[in-house]
Amino acid sequence: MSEGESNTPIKYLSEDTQTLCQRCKIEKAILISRKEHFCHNCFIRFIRGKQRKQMLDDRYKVRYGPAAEKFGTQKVLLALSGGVSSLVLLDVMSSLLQEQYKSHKGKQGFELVILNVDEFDLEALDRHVNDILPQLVSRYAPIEVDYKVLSLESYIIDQNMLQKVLLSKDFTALQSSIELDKEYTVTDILKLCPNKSSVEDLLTIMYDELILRTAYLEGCETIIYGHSMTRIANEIIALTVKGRGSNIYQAISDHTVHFRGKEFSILFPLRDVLYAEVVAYANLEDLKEFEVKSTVVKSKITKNLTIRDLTTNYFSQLDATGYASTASTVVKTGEKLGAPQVSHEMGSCQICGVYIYQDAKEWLRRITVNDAAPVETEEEKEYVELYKETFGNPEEADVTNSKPVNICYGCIVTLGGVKQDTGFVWPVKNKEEDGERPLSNIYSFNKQDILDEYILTDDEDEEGEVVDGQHI
Amino acid sequence: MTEIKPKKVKLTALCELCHSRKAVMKRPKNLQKLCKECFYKVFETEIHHTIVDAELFKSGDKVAIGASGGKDSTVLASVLKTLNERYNYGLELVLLSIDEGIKGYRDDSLATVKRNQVQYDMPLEIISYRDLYNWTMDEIVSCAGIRSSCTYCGVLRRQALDRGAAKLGINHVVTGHNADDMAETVLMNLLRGDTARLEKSCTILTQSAGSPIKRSKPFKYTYQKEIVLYAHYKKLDYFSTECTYAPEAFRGTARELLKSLEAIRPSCIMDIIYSGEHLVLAPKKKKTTTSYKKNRKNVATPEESEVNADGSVSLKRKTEFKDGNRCEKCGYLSSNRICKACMLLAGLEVDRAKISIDNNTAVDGAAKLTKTLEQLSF
Repeated sequence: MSEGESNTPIKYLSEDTQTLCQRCKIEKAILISRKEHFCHNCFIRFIRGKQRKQMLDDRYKVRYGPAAEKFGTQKVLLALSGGVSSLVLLDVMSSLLQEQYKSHKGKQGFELVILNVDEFDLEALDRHVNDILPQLVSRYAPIEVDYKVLSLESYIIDQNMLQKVLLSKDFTALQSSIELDKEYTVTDILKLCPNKSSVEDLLTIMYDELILRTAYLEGCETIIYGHSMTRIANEIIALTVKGRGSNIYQAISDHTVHFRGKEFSILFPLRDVLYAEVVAYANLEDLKEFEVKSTVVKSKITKNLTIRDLTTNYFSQLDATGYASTASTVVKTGEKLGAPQVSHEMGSCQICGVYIYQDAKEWLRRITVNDAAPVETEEEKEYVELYKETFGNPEEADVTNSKPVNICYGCIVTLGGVKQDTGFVWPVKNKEEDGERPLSNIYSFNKQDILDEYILTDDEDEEGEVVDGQHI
Repeated sequence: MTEIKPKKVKLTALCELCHSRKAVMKRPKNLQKLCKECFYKVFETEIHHTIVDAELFKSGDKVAIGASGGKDSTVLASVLKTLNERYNYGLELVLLSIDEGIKGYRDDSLATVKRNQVQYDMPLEIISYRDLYNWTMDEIVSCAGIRSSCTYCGVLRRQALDRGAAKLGINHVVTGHNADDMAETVLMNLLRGDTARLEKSCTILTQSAGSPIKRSKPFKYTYQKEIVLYAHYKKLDYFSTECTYAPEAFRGTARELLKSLEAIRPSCIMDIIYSGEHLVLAPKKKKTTTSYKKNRKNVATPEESEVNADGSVSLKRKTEFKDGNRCEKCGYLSSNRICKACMLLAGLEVDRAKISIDNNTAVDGAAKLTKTLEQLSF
């Protein structure tokens, strides 16, 4: 294939290419990206520039005088999964700090804190992120990067908050208290999920909140994610497919979230960088050796995949077939979205915390009718009686100890298919706090409760004192 | 072994709704096991709800059913007839068909519509591209190529349906667009970044101030697979061949994605529509007008117009999109000065062969060829 003919977003040039880099016009070009020839350094600079442009705010710059007083010490929390995108974001951010350090005689615009939510068991990773962190962080000396590894189990703060949630036939969600004969771990909760896509959806809810809690505890006012443009496009489509379209405008834009009375900026500094470009950056900067991968090979059978697997595959296919620009189109479209109209106040979802814009169960009831056709013959009547004798009357289900849960459409979909006997267990958000806090969780805790939550130190071992959820 | 009595149905094999008849099918929407009777009941009731909630019809309305002879429109005609009688909508239903002029495909499907006319006892009107535009689809494809066939056909059909309805004195056309189509449209609008259509992608009733003709989609929430099952159990007479001019490649990828998604989560079609109904564009940020622009506005008098660098003059654009604009050429509804159909036809006219051979069959499309091949015998 000749140059330029390839449809893939990044095209590597062979060693003997003599074309010069179009930026510096000195070095030999090594790859083509966005129709431009780049040398190694100019490409790295190009990608870093994308992040710089996203974070031009004064609070990330080295400040003197009044500005320094106004912003104080800024801390930025970087959510690091160990995947390529988050590694690249760490590299890009650290390079910014190194530049600041050099040109301002050892001063930095902000402090960087890495948070990893441990997915070793869950995703069957090839190694612990904990194992790569010391070496990874040492690359960026003299910049000091703090890091925390958090167990997913710390999501459950208090066993007493766990409620059994059931979805009735008419889409009403009901909660009832559970016998605390055993302690539920996050793993237990996930086992009660009806399918893989539901697990995936609930994990997202947990991660988002764990990251927010950590930001709160660490005093970080900014949270950054390594999502590439392709990943954000993927997220937009996945949210649409999951029935969470009303939340797209928030979930994918750089936005602020109110959480426990504080405000947090959530940013996606790599939102202008395609996934293929992220991978190219990782290759050039030797970040690949740190990449933490799942040892589970993704199934080839559609039935075994999740919604995000399918949308991810879709975008990588588009890349390969010459529709790579789709990702950028989707992201631009997503960025133009706003908040839907609300006819009357519906409050927030007690499962995931998003704002509810429409009574989803009523909508569903109208288009998913559950009325039987008339029972006519004697034989048919016999069967009805026989059925009642054996299984009891389904209409007289025991709902006396249950109370309704305010639930959004997306969560109705996620809970759809939960088995009626085991039900589903979740820390339902029952304490309403003052409004206007979309995406946030709504617990009111005193400081001690929060401090009790979980470990946040560098060298504690994995299993140890991960969660302390035993306070009453 | 012979059985005298019909075998007892296992309790677990009973319909999940009535618990009195044997379940014969799994409902595609939620995988409920249902008997035929309960399936009919829920299928029809859901469509009834959709119609009532959106207030699609008024008593005494004359409604044209866009009938292609395919499964969607055949089931639509059947269900509307049933519901009209059951719930006393008081509708007068008419079948309206478009003959695009695709030999070997549309001629057969029109035969189906003609049988439907008798079966459902409804009047039928056929409007052909040939009469309306002096082009058939086969000619258009042979002239413009197969890749853009759907663009032409879609634009022309939309207008043809309106004109057909106007001819019959009807102001409401219902079409068989189903939930799968809606979900696909939502995805396509996102993937193509079609912000103009994004908010409207899920509206059930489209109406324009300038046009007396409304269009609606009573099957908005009805799964394609359920339409097929309904037609199957009711033994409806429909034409099952797909149009031989296949959809464009990119739409194909979205359709493929939707199919895989439905396989892992049957509700996803409803979920996408729900999402689609909540996609709203954020209010546009007001651009701060520069003083330079303000000054220019004051200077320019309405008679003056700016000459572009290449010597051309831009046609004055109406300041804002106005609902109810008319095409200057044909008078049909258009958001621009010339409607899309006239634009496409003018483009075609340029390329049209000046001389043609009598009884030329070369323009006949692939459908005709396939058909001929099918009928060969040795």
